[in-house]
Amino acid sequence: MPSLRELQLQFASQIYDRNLPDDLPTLILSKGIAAGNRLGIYRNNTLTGLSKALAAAYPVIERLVGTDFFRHMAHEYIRRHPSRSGDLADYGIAFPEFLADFEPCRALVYLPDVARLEQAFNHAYRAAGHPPLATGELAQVAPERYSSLHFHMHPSARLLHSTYPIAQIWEFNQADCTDEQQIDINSGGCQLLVYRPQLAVKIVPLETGEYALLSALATGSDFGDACEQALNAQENANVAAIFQRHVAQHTLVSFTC
Amino acid sequence: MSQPVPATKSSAAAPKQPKRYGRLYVSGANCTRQGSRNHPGACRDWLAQRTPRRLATNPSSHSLAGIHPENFFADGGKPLQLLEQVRALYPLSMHGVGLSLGSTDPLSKTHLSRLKHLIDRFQPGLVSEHLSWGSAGDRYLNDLLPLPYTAEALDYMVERVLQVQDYLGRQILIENVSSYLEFSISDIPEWEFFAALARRAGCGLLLDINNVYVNACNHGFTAADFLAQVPAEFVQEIHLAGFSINPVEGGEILIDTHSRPVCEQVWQLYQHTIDAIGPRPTLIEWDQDLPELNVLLAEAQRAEHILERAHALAA
Repeated sequence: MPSLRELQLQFASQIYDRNLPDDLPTLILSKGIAAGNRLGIYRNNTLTGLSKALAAAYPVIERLVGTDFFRHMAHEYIRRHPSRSGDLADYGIAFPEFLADFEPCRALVYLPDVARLEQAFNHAYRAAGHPPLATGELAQVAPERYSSLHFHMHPSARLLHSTYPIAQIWEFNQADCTDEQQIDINSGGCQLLVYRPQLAVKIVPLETGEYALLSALATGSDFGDACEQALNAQENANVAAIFQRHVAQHTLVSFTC
Repeated sequence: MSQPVPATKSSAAAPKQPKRYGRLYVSGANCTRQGSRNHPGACRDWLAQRTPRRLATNPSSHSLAGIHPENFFADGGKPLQLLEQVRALYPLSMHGVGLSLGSTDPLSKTHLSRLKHLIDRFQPGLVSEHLSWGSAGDRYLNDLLPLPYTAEALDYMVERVLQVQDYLGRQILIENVSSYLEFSISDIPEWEFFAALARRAGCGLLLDINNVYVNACNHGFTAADFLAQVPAEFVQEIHLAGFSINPVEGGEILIDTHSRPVCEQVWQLYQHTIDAIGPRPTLIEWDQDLPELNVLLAEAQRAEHILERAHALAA
C-alpha cells in the first residue's frame, strides 16, 4: 500500500505530466468508469481553472489572440509553469517571458510588452495604498540638501517602456472601447507609469526625461543624480516641473535623507 | 435553539470561538468556489455585480456574507475597501479554498499568514477549509482533491487541522468535498472519517449537503445514511449548491459545478437535516453561469423558509 505522500505525488504527476504511473489506476475503484476517465475529470478541472486564471490576468492578450488560441497557449504554459500557490492570483507571473519565447507567437512582437503592462496593472490593483508625500516635512529640509535626498514611489507604481504603442493597444482592447481605429504597431514606442494613487489604476504616458528621472529614483539614485540622468535623456527636461507633478499626482510619496 | 442572534454593526469584535448564529442565510454575497474569479480581474467583475449597495437595500439582520479569503489576499485597493463595506453590514464567513490542508507538503507559510492577516482585520464569525488536498511536490492543482480514507490520512489531517487552528488561534470548520473517484485503499467510510476528524481535532464541521448527494450518486451509497452519521453538535454551517451531470464512457458522473439551482432531492435532504439537528447558517453556492439575482434570491428564500419554520418549532 502506497503512503499518502506517494499517492499524492503520483496523482499530481498524472495531472501535470500526463503520464499514467503504473500503480495509480489500480488504486482507483472503477465501478463501471475507467480510472483514466475519472482522473481525466480532475485533469480537466486543473487545466480549466488555471487557464481561466491566466485569461483573467491577461484579458487583453486573450482578446488579441482569440479564446481558442489562448486556451491552447495556456495549456502549454501550464505544462511548462506549474502553479506554485493556492492563490490563483499568483499564477501567470512568467507569462510575458513565455510569450516572448513561444514560437507560434513570434510574429506578434508586441505581445510580451502588452502582457507586462497587464501584469503591472494587476500588481497596482492589489498593492498597498500610501498617503501623499508629507510636503510639510520636505519644506523643513534646506534646499541645498535636496540633491542628496532619496524619493520613493507609491508602492503600487511600476515603470515600463516598449518600442510598440502598448498603451494604445491596451486601450483599444478594453471591453468598453468603441474606437474602431487601426493601430500602426510601428507608430512609435512609449514609456509608462502604472500605479494606483487612490482606488483606480492609472496608466500614465511619460516623456523621456520624466521616465529617466523616475527610473533613477526607483533604482535608488539620489535626487541630484536622477535630475542629471533626466537631462542626459532629454536635454530640455524641466526637472522641477516633473518633480512637482509627481508629488502632486502621488507618484512620489516619501523620502529619506 | 435559542433566539436568533442578530448580526449588526456592533458585532465587529467577534469572539475567539465562532459564534453560533441562530439563523442565517446567505446567497449572492458568496463569490466563488475556485477558479478564474479567484483573481483581481474577476474580483473586479464580481464586486461590480454584487455591490454592497445592492445588499444594503435589504440587509437582513440574520444574514452572513460568505467570501473566499483568497479573493482578498491583497495589500490594498478596491476589493478590500468593498469588503470593509460588506463587513459593516454583515458578519463574515471566510471559506478558504487554497490552503491544501490534506497535502503532505508543508503548509504554505505565505498562505497562512495572508489568511491570518485577513482574519485579524475583518474578524469573521466563521472560518472554514476543506477535507481535501491540492498540491504535491510543490505543484498546485488548485482543486479540492479527495483523500484516501485511511488511518494514516486521518492521523495526518488531525495533525494539520491542529496546526492551522494553533496558528490562527481559533477553531476552523472543515467541509466535506465532492469527489469523482474513490481510492481502493480507503477502509474508513467518508462519514466516519469526517466525524472522527471533528472529534479528534476539535474543529467544527461545514456540512455540504450537495456534496453528500453528489458523492452518494457517484459512489453508490445512501445520502441519508451519511447525514445520519454526522454528529450534529459539530455542524456549524451548511452549504447547498447545484451540480452538473457529466456523461462519461461507462456511465455518468455528477460534478459539483455551483452552476445550477439546488436539486429537489438536496432540498429534501436539507429539510430532513434541519428537522433532525436544528437550524444552521446556510449558504447557497452559485458562482458559475450566474442567473438573474431574483433566481438566486428565490433559492435563498427557500432555505430561509425552512430555517424560519425550524426556529418557530424550537420556540
